[in-house]
Amino acid sequence: MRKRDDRLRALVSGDESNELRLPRTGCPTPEELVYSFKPEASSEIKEKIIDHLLQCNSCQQEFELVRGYLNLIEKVERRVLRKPSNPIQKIARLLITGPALLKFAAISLLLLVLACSYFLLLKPVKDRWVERTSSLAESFSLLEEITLSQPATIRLIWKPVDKALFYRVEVFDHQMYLVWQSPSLKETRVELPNEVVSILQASPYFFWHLIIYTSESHRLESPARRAWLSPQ
Amino acid sequence: MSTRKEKEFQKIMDEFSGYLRSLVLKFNLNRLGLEAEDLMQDVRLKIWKIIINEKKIDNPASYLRKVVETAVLDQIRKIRREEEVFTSERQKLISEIEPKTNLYHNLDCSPKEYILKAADSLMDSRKTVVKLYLLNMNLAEISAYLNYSRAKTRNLLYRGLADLRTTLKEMGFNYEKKRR
Repeated sequence: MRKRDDRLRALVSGDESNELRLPRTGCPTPEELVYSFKPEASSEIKEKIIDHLLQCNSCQQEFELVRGYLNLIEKVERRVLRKPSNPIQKIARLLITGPALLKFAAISLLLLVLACSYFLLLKPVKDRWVERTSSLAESFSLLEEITLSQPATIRLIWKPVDKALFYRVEVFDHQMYLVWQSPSLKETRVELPNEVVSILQASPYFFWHLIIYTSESHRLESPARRAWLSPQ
Repeated sequence: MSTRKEKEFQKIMDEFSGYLRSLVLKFNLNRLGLEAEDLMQDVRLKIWKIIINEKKIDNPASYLRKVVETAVLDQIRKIRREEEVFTSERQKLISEIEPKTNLYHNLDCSPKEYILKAADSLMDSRKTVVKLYLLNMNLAEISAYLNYSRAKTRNLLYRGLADLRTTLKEMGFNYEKKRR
């Protein structure tokens, strides 16, 4: 980010002009502020809160407090609570926190493992990765139902995924600019709004992909799929 | 309890204490009688209890989230209570000293208003990302908040900021510091 963009940020957040603290009647509740950070919160709620924050210094300070605490949770989870689950993570942890002799041993072991993997594993793993990617793409079974006669409709359909809590779909135009993001979906299909359909009709094809939320912190993304609106 | 965990925890809390201190200074929370150390003490103790009882708790990560969220909600409620008292006292003073002052004068022409107007004119997907950037969030935080990938967030942010600069220029607003 450029320095002049930082200046923009300073002008916005540093503007405590006349320190006006307006009555808090229209402000989101503390619970709503915390909820807005959750992945299941709709984009409408998030946008509403963001717009409010830019006008309300009091809510902005609370939002920053929540943000700070969520970062704290993430750090404690990552650096203190979660035990290293595989040998590489254990070695990495030793490198960061262990005494000098252990660090030396860990570095030697790491170099040995890297050298072995280069000669023995690199190529097969690469091949497997390619295979897995193509099979992953198929496993999502992304499909479109497109009707171009008036009124034009575009329905996006996919196969249910095990353990999915909800889905989201993102639609991009032919230049890969994001055009639309769906709300959280429980069903395995969605019909695009009319205004999105009319934007997409301006080009011969568009792209879309599926995001699958399996838990609060885990998600899967399908590869982007090109959908043709006119015969190729 | 391993000393590694203790050290790591202390390091994280030191970083967090720095963040809280800057927040208290930035928003002048001292005026409400709040100190960074007060805000931290309670949470420090709660988190430490979870860490030492990690093996006895079914899902420490989700328990930690719940405990810290409750603590932050309590703190916000406390800030709001203190603020209400502070604001009403100040309003009383203002009305006694200067009853005819219009508190809302001079709001239209602040640099913030210019920037927000320009941000509002951006296309929807870029607008949200740029606004979060203006709210001091970094790339990782914005992508986590909006459930976007890092690459997509970066793309939207760079394009959005470029559009914002162009719009501000068209509005005749010069925000860069003058060089000597």
